[in-house]
Amino acid sequence: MEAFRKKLERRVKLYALVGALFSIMIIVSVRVFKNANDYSQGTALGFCCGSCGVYLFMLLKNAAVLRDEEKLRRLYIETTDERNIAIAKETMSTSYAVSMLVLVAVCVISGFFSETVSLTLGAVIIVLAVVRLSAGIYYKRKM
Amino acid sequence: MKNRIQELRKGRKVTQQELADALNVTRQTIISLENGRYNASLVLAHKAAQFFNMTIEEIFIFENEENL
Repeated sequence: MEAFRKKLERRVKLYALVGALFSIMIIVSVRVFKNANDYSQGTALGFCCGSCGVYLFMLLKNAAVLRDEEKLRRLYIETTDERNIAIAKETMSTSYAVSMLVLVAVCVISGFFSETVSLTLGAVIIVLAVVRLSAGIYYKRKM
Repeated sequence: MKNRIQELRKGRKVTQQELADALNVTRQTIISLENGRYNASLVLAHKAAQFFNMTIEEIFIFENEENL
């Protein structure tokens, strides 16, 4: 339980750091890239603002948990519950398979309309496959 | 895999939440265990056996399963 508390404290610090980084990126998007086209600036700003909001929410939520022993115990049980862990693993596995199928289908179909979009999706598929393969090799050696 | 968790729990007048707290799992896990929808890991089976002061074989009923 103490190890979990320390892990949560490190996580809160990480959320604060990442939130601060995204805040800096907001300023950079507005000041440095003010001459960029609307879409690029809008995408960057929207993504940074959204991410900042999410990390701020996670920071406040976890900080509140650290102050309350009962909430900390509940979160510890939720996080380490073996059924929840099994559900998360199955969800990730199924999501990956379905996402890859959809990406491949969209990549092929978009090839009839836009080469750029098709090539971009193809690159995404390759990156995801390489990451998955690397993770598989890593865990096979580790376990 | 079938088990006697619900029967043993009710026999000792323990609620699902109390059993969940004792085994450090969520109440949903206890519900799924009792319904046979989820198979406990060795660690959880051992904790349950210690809680009820019985052996794992007395709580969990091993039938002829293909996985075994």
